[in-house]
Amino acid sequence: MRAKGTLGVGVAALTLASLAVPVLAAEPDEAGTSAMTLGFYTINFVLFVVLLVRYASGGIKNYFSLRARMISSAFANLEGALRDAQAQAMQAAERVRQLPFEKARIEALIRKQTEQDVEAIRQAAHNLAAQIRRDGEAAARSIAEQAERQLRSAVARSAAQMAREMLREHFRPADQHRLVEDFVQEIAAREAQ
Amino acid sequence: MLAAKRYARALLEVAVESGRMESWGAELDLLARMTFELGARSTLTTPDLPLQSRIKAMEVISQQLGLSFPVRSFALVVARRNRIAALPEVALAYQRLVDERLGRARAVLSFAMEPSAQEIEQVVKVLERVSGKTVLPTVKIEPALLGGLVAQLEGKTYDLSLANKLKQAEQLLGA
Repeated sequence: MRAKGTLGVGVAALTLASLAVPVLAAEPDEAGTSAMTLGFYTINFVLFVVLLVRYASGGIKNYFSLRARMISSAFANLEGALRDAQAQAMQAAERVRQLPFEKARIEALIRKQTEQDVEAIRQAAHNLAAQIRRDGEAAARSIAEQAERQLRSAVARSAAQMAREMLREHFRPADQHRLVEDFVQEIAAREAQ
Repeated sequence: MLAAKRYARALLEVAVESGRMESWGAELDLLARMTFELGARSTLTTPDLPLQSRIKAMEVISQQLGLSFPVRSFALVVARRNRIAALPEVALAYQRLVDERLGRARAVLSFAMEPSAQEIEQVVKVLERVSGKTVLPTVKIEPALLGGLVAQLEGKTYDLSLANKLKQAEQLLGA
């Protein structure tokens, strides 16, 4: 196809060259030369146009067709982008419109959460205080009981010691005799049981 | 202890036949005390003492103590079997066997003050009623009891001393 086109162009160029030789070789009068030249140029131009139409129109058409499709596609893309942008702009506008409500909602949420946190902290502090109070009371009670036990033990030891000393000092054979009789009665009573 | 009881029972069987339970018991007790004391100061009760030396030593001791022939023979058997160290246990087992046979019980009576004979008798009588046996008392004086007495009979302790009562009162007060 391309070879055929090249051949056509070659033939047309040779034709023009063969025509141009007699035109340039002749030396007629001024008016005749002018008419020949004009005719030559006219034919030359027509040939040029024919060649142009014959061999370049397809490519030009294809080029412009492709170009038109590209432009059309670009337009379509642009329109889509425009629609997206418009939709986003509308969404943004809606968000902006909703902002005060959202802000109020978040504020309410934060306020509620804060109140809950404060209440939880207050309750925890209350429980901790109660626990500390109970522990303190228990510790105080334990210390008091221990002190009481120690005191009672010390008093008992002292009383027993005093009793021992008194017995050593005042105990008499008659007391011993009475204790022996008590022993006899006690053992007899146990045996009776 | 089992061997001691076996030796004691063997001696008792002969003693019963000859009607010398009490006197042989006393001789055995004397022998046991002597060997115990000598054992603490010499090699008499050690197992590495030669047999002839043991027998000779026991003969001398028996002669010195004036033991009757049967008890002396028993002592030689004990020496030959290398059981001199077990003699105190044998004497104790013999004493218990005799007490059992005669329906007797031994009691240790600890008084805070020197007791009168009447007081000892009173205590012994009541213990005999409790045990149903004849009571042989061993009397001790223990001032630490403060007052009253403690009786130990057949593994039981009857503690009615003032020291014990004070101790109980102290525990009650301190609790």
